[in-house]
Amino acid sequence: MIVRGFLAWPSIHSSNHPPIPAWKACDTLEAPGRRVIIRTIDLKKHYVIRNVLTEALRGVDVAIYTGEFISVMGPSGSGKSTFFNMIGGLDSPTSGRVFIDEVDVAQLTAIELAFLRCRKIGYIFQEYNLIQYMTALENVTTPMAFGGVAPDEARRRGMELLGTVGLGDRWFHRPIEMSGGQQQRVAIARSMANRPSVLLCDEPTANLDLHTGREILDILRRLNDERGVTIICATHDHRMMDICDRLMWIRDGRIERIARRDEVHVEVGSIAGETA
Amino acid sequence: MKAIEICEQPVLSFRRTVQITANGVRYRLFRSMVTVGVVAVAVAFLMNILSESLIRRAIARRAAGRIADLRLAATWVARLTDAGSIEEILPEVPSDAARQAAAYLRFFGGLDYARRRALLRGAAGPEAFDALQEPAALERFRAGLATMRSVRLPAPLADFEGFLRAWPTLKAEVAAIRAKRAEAIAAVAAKLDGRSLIEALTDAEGAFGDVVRSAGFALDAATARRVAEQARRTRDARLVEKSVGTPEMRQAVAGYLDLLPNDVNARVLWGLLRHHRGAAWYLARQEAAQGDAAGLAAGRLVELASAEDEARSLARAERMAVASGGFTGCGERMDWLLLASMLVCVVGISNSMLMSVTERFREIATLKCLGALDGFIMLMFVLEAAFLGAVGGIVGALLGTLLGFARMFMPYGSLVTASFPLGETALMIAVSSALGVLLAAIASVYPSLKAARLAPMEAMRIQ
Repeated sequence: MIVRGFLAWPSIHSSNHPPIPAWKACDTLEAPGRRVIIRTIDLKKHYVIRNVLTEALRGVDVAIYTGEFISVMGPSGSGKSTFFNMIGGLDSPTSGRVFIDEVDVAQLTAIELAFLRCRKIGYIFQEYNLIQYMTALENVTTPMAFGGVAPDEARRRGMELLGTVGLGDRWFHRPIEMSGGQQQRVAIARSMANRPSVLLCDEPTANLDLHTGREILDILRRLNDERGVTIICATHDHRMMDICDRLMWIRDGRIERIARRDEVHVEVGSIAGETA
Repeated sequence: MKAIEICEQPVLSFRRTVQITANGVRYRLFRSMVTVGVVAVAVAFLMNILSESLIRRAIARRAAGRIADLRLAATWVARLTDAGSIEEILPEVPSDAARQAAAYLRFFGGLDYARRRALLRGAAGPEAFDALQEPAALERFRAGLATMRSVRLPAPLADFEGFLRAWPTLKAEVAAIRAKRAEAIAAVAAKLDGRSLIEALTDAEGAFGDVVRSAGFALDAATARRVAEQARRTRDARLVEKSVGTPEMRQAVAGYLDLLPNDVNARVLWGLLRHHRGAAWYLARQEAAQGDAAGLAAGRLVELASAEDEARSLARAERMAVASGGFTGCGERMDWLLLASMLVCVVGISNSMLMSVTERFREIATLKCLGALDGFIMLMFVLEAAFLGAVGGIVGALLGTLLGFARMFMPYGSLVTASFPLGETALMIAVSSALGVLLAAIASVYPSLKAARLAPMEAMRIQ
């Protein structure tokens, strides 16, 4: 974390023009043939904790397009996680609507939600969340089993995915026998198991060193380029700005700013010997 | 809006669920062992009680038959000594009234003291029939019976009164039989020539048997052979027990066994004679001292000792309460203890499973993020518990049986092996193991529900 303190912080206040409204930011990417994969309309989420009303989200309107690589940034407590839970179909909003692939999430039953989580969305967690008692291959094939893929087919696809993330020869290792970066790569392979349309990454590089984090980001970028999977990435990692298409800042439960990468002035520093 | 192309999530096959569960159990072997241990202890307790109860019943069944068999000679001694009471003779009278008398006697015998006192003024046995011959007593009996709603005569009251009228005749009949029997006993006694009855009965197959038969007793050849053998054994046993009575013999046995002479008694002697070496040594001493047991062979001494052992354990088995009520036949207190142990077991498993669920919050949430249905999570935990319950149940049932066997083997020895209720015990092992599975499954319902209801967003939480 100290290292990051030296890195340039792209403050929105440093730019000369006023914040771009959310709807406008969406329009800038609207192009023929691009389909909205996730859309939220006036998304609000309130929690009541010990009789105190906490407004985690205060009305978020956003549209995310197919094949986009979008970074969501924001300080702790900004509502980033809540936003993630909403668009990941993990939690239901207090008001407003979430459409994933044109389907209103609020209308889905528990079983349909399970289907959605299984096939449409891949999750990547900060702490990898691999199942400890399964080998890498079993970890990757578990979502396929839930999705009803035949074991042989699941095995073949699992090996292929592990090959994609460069762990084809370590399929029989358990998470405890792998480094953090390798575990995260297995997690990426797992998230791709059922060929989802969206990858939701919750700070995928936060627990990794600079170099390994870079590898993970490269893999994500490659998946985005080659497979056209939409990637939404919550992060504090400014290298993310280097590779993503759009950036979104959340603060106090609202979208503060959405900008294309070329609109943001990013300066990523480097420190002795290591390229960030 | 385009049509929803979301369909229902397929349910994971049972085989795959079992596979994943077994994988998890293997990984968390230590925690699993705790659960298994809890189930095993509870089931072992239950199985120990059950198997002891089963063995005890089997022993008692076997002992009852064996004792009647072993006491044949004693029975004959009694028969040849005493003409018997009215109750003893009644079953031998082949008349309807005698059968009724037996039934009424059983009925009066079953009454408690207060009631018997109210109805019969404390008259016991056949005296009651005599007492009720008086009209006043009968009137009182009738009135008393009317007030006791829970007491029912085995036959209508009119029949009973009819029986009472027939009683004097029946009594006379019994008295005649008794007199005849006393005569026969006197005839046999005259032929004893100063021997004791047991000594005389050693000759039951020969001349003395004829004497008994000619006096009017029914003694067939097979019975005579067994009576003779038992009588010989009793005579020899008495000889052996008597032989240790002299101070010199006591001193010698005490020296051999490293005891105080005062502690030497018949029981110690039989213990010494149980083995061939001891028997041979004792015999040598007897022959040297011209003792009572000098004429016996060493083999005979060992045989007598083992018969004595058997008689002792049979006597113990006979004294033992066969069934003292309650579900297990071990008394109601034991049932409560068992119930409490089952409850503790359920709580223990529940606790262990709850901890397992709490520990695995993230795993469960991740599985849900990957598309696991609530049912799968629930089934996974119930299966895990049931699996542990099965292992614990089988281990516990076997342990409990072993323990019960060992505990019964100590006092009853070979009687246990001879009458071990194999089929019933196997059934009980199966039932107890099943109970282990059931307990574990019941105990895991709440933790499993908790796991199944877990929100998938818990996976995002950073620990």
